[in-house]
Amino acid sequence: MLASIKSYALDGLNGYPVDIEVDTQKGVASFEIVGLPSTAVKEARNRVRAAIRNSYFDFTPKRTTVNLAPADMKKEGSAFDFPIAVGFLAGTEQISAERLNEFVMLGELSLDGSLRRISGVMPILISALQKGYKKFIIPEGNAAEASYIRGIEVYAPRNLADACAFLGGLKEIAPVKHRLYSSVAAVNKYDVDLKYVKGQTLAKRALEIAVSGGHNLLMCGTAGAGKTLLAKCIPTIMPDMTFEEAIETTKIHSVAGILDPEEGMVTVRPFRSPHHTASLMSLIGGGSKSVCGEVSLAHNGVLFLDEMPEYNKKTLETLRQPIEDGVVTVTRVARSIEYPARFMLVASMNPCPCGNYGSRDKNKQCTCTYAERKRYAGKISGPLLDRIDLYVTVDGVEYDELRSAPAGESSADVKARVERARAIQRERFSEEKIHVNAEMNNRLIEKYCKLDVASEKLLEQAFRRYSLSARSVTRILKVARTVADIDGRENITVNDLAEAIRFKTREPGNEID
Amino acid sequence: MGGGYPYSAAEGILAEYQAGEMMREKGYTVIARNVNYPKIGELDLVCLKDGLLVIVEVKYRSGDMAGDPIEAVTPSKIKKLCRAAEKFIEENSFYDYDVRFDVVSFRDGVPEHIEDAFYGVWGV
Repeated sequence: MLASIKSYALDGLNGYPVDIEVDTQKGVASFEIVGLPSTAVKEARNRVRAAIRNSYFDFTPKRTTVNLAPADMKKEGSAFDFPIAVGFLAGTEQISAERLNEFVMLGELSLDGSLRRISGVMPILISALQKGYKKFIIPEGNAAEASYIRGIEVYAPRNLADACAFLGGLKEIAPVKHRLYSSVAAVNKYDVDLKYVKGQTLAKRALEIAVSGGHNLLMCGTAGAGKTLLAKCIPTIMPDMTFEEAIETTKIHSVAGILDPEEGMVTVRPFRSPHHTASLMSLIGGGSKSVCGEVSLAHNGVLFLDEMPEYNKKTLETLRQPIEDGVVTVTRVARSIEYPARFMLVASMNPCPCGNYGSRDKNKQCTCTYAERKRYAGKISGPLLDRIDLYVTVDGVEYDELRSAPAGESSADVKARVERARAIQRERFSEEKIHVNAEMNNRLIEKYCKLDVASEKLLEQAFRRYSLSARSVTRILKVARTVADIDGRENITVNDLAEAIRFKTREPGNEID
Repeated sequence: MGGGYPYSAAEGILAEYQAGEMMREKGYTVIARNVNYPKIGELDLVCLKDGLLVIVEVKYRSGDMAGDPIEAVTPSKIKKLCRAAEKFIEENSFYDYDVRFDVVSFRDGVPEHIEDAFYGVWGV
């Protein structure tokens, strides 16, 4: 007999419906899966067989053919185990086929018949909802991420037997309760705080500007000065994610399988710090399955590159395009997938290979030659540096400052200012498709970054003095806009512009000369 | 024969006979023995019970050295059995039956009946 079950598969971040047809005929016992299954899908046959037997159903010897339609898309993952098992049971008339068409089913089966958590449930549910599917059966472990989506009815049984009893009307399962995002968003989950960072006033200011406008930041300083600590504080001063942002990020994390099963939602901005041995593929995304990379995992959050010159140069250069566009298109022979990658780049580096150049400490003198320093700074290419809006030198702190200085501003205080600056930007860009100053295009810069006569003159001087590129100028204007926003000023003043120019032009290469 | 284990034709014939007896005791009807299709494959025992056609593969081993007899049913052997079973169904019009593969394995002369021992493989 033939049974047909609705399921869903993912192509990048978008789902598409898969019809699972299970045909059980008399004849030599066999179990074939067709419709371009990957190895994990083919292995379903073994899991399905064991799970059915261990759920006290009969895995009667039948000539079974499972077709996954559309047959021309490569099917990945283990989410079809459960619908295949249900299809088999319906085909062999062990459960009633009446209600099967109502549901979209997803789930991996464990050998004992229990349903295991799968990755990518959130994006699947969202795209299925857009196509008009409303009722789902998913594993219990995925219930949390499904609970945030409004307008769907999700059932999350523990195992195959429960699911079948539910489908047969023998047992009631309560649908997953809807959860409000606001109930989980506002909780502070960080164990660092800006108030524990002593001194570093300038760096903290740069951090605040960068976060307020979503600008990219490079911190340069001697070893142990506190660059990494400062970077770790960035998420604590970033504004809370809106529901839409949280959904965007959760979709990516769900596909990557790194979502917290309890929480079910990414509620804090991601802070990704890939080690400097990271490969090109792991950073950008790729591989035969076109998986997403660190830039996408950092979407709506921070991508922190510690010790930037230590990264493979080629790897760094690939960041240029996502920094500009906010999306990465991973293209392979089999498929081409677009992942969002709107992140704030924060990088840190030492001023020279020995790490002491420019140190205020008399006993820590730099031992590097001029050529060595030049080469070290040269590892980061001009075009990449050009895309960084703020450069800040992080000096080591003095003992007095370290031990006695009163605790600085707490992250909460800074965050309040950042939220205010962001609110101004949100209002300004309410008609546009962007959120922050850093995303402004030339038309918007023209419109919102008007300069007075004095500022215009200052910019011209800076342009000639530092041989700025056209892009550098636009970036300076954007930062100046953010500085004005932090103070709630309508127009950019000379001081705002001067601060922006100052942060833009003290790049590591310049200092060394 | 599998790797030169102590084995004799007489023992093999005895094992197949014993397996048949065992199936009969369990309520199966033995309808064919040693069905041989040259170049296709061979079926040791074919039994019937409740609308189910059961193809039995008899495996004989002495001593532990050879491992579990069931391990001797390799994928290529399974493919041969499938083809032979198809041929048998065709010749004898058993189209309306579910077909199951069983193994009766002898270890030191003690028979063990494994129902639904493996599934058929197509293509490959």
